[in-house]
Parts: sequence; C-alpha cells; structure tokens
Amino acid sequence: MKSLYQRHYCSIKVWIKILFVVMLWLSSAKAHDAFEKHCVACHAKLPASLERIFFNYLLVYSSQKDTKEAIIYYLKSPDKDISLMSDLFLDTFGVKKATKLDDKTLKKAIDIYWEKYNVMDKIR
Amino acid sequence: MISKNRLTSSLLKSETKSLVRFLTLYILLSSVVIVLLSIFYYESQNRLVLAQQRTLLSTYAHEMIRKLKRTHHFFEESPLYPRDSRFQSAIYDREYHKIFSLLEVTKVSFNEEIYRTQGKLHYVTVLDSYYLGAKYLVIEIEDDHQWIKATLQDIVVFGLVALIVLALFGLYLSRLFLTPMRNSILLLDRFIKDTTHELNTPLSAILANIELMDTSVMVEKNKKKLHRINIAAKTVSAIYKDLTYLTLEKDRMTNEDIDIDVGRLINDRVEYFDILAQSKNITFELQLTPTHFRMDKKKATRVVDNLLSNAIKYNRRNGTITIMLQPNRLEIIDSGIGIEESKIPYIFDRYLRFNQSEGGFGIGLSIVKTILDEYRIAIEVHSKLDWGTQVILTW
Ligand code: HEC
Repeated sequence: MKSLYQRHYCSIKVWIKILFVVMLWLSSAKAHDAFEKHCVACHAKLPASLERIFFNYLLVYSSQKDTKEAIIYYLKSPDKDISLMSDLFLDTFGVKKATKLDDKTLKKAIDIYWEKYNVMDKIR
Repeated sequence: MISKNRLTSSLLKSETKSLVRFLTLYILLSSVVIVLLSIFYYESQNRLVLAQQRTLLSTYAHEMIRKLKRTHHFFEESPLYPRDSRFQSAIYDREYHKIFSLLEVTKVSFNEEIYRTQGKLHYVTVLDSYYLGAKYLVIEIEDDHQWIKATLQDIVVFGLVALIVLALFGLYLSRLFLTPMRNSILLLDRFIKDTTHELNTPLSAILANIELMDTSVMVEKNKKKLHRINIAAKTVSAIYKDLTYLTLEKDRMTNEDIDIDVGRLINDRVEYFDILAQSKNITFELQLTPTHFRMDKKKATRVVDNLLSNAIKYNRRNGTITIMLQPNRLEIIDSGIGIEESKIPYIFDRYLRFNQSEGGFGIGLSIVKTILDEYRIAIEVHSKLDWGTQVILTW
C-alpha cells in the first residue's frame, strides 16, 4: 500500500520535470528571439532591409567569421568612417548608438542574423 | 699478308674495349642531355597550351563574375547560382570554405592560377568585390590531351634521331682519337715480331755451332767458357721460343694434335736443360710412368720448358728437381726459394714482372696457363718460402 508521502513525492517529481521543460523552452525561445527582439523592431523603420545590409557586409567581408566580427565591432562602436551605409543614408538617419546588449546576447543575435540570410544554405 | 691481318684483328680486341667504354659513357651523357631537353620542351609546350587556355578561361571568369554580381543583387528574388554549359564553376569565401560548387574535381589548389588535375583544367580568379561572399571563383574545363600526344611523339622521334646522330658522331670521334694509339701499338707489335724473327737465324747459328764444336781439342779453360756460352744461348733460346709463341704461334688457328709420349718428352727436355741445371749443380730425380696424351707438340714443349726453366731458375745451388709422372698427373717439385703464398694467385698474370719491382715470372707462366686452359688441364701450385715449389698438373 502506497503511503501518502510517497504519492506526494511522485507528484513533486512530475512538477519539477514540467518546470524544467518549461524553463528550457523559455530560454530557447528567448535565444531565438534575440535577433527579432533586439534588432528587427528598430530596423523595420529603416528603408534599408537587414538582408540588404547583410549582403553589403558579405560583399566586403566574405567569410562567416569576418562578417560576424565586423558587424559586432560596428554595433559596439559605430563610426561614420567604417560604416558600410551610404553617406546619404547616414546623413538622413544618423549613425546609430553603440549597442547596450551584453556580449552573449549580441553574439546570439548575430548568429541568428547569419543563419537567416547566409548564402550557402539558400543558393541553388 | 696473313700475319698482318692477324695483327690488326688482335689489335681490334683491345681497341674495342676502350671504344665500347667511351661510347657507353658518351651515349649515357648524350641521353641525359636529351632527356633534360625533352623535359624542358615538354614544360614549355605545357606552358604554351596553358597560356592559350588562360585567355579563354579568363573570359569565362569575367562572364561568371558579371552573373554573380547580378545574383548578389537580386538574391531575395532568385537565389539561383549562374550556370554555363561550356564550363563548370565554384565559388569559395575568403577562408576557402565552399559557398557553392558544380566542379567535377572538387579538390582545388588556391595558390595556383591555372593547373591540370585529374583530366580537368582549373582556373582560379580572385574577385575584387565578394559577390555572395565569394572571394575565389574556380572555372573548370575538360583538359585537352591532344597536345600531350603530339608533344610526346615529337620527343620520341627527335630524341631518337638526335641519339643516332650523336652516336654516329661519337663513333667517328672515338676512331679519330684512337688512331694514334692504334698506330703506336701496331708499330710496337710489328717491331717485336720483326725483332723476334730476326733473332731466329743468329740464335740457330750459335746453337748449331756450339754443338758442332770439337771439345776434345780444347783446353780445359776454353771448354768451361764454351759451356757457359752454351748455357747462355739456351736461356736466350727459351725466351726466344716464348716470344715466337706469343707473337706468331699463339693465334695459329689449328692445333696439330698428336699422340705424345709424355715421359719421353720430359726426358728430352730435361736433357736439353741439363746443361743449365748443371751450372747450378742441380740434380734431377725422375719417376716417370709411361703416359700418353694427345696434344700439340709445340704447345706441350712450351709447358714443360717453362715449368722446367722456372724450377731451375728459382732453385738454389745444389738443389734437386723431382719430376713424377703418373697416367693423369704430373708433379714438378723444386727445392728453391719458393713464392710467398699471397702471390701464388698472381703468378700466371702476364708481365707481372713489369708491375712489381721485386720481379716475377714474366710471360712464361702466362703462356703455360693459356695452353693448359685450352687442353683442360688443371694446375695447382703449392709453395713455401725457402723450401720450394710444387707444381701439379692433373687431367
Ligand atoms: C535603435 C534602433 C536600432 C537597433 C535596436 C538596431 N539597429 Fe542596426 N542600425 C540602426 C540604424 C539607424 C542604422 C543606420 C546607421 C548606421 O549604420 O550607423 C543601423 C545600421 C545597422 C547596420 C549597418 C552598419 C553599418 O555598416 O553602417 C547593421 C549591420 C545593423 N544595424 C545591425 C543591427 C543588429 C544586428 C542589431 C541587433 C543586435 C541592430 N542593428 C539593432 C538602428 C538600430
């Protein structure tokens, strides 16, 4: 015959499991969100799509590593001189402010950015 | 006339040897030169063909870059890699990661502009703007093998012709160089032959006259002198016979083999050399079993003479010479100065005397050896210094 304690114990175990799964789902959703949340909203207001900007970076930096590094560098310390946007664009919209995101989140956002637009996966 | 022919043909033997050596070296060297030239020719031909192909390939590359540019700008609408039926191509990013490839041979070498690989020709261009992130564009076409066939054919044909011409030239050259040597050898040979021939008459005269001399009317003192003259004449005669054998008899084609009573031959020759032996007070001990052997008489005599004269020449005063003849074995033992064991293998070499200052056995034993070899008679020499020498012939 099962004791009351044992039954309680079982249900606690189940609850912990569920909680764990939910947390995992939340965290992964958050990671997926990093780019949508921190970049897309603001860029939606701009006439240059993030895809166009991405291709501009590819045109200059070529490889995955260099492209990612260059974007991160620019986001951390934006500068009119190293910007790849046209002068007209910069005059109109101004140089963006340095990002306040922490390194980890920024990296996650850029990784998603790359995944979303890179050529290797899409070209046929 | 005949002897002259023989002379030239024997000359040719020694000549051929140096001729062959020279020609081998010469042809070897020429071959190396021809091979090097062939490689050089092949390489230059290769480069020529590549240069022609490069023009075509760079045109293809230009077209490809234009198309890549368009794809780059309209990637959202159509992410299609530009294709061309005339060639295959691939693009790689700055870190040599493949972006897209249609190549059949996928291994690419980025530090060469143009190269052949597995039947294909690869042409690598670096893009100024990295459309689609591509820094390297590789164009691949079929490698045309026609030129290789043509080139190899050229190399084989011209190489062979050159080799033949060079060989003929080498032959001519070597003949040119050898002529003076040949002349001097001819001269020397003729001189030795003529001299030997000239010796015949006076030597016969001396020997005959010594025999004819009436010793009974001589004073004892003169008898002794005549004796010495006789010994000297016989020694010269032995040398003379060896020389004639070498220059005239040796290459006589046919042997006049007859049945020889070996015992009698030995007795005859011992008698002939007795006077020489007496001068050193050497005694002969003969144990001769009657034995017969088919052989050229002159050659048999040369063998016995040389062995006997050596046994006398290298014996000590008051020594003995034992000669034992059995049906298939002849043994000549002297009690002489002996030969160093280490030198025994060389005693049959011709002109050993001239090579080593201590002196040796001259041409005599070399003649003995050639004759014995011809009749398949084995010779064994045992010797101990200051004890004597034992020569054993077996057949
Ligand atoms: C507050 C609005 C805003 C946010 C948030 C934002 N950006 Fe931007 N971004 C801009 C503006 C404005 C420009 C154009 C001015 C410039 O380039 O400095 C720009 C330019 C860029 C460029 C072009 C840089 C260049 O060479 O000039 C890149 C790449 C870029 N953003 C990526 C991102 C990414 C990735 C994120 C998310 C981590 C992000 N942005 C977040 C406003 C924003």
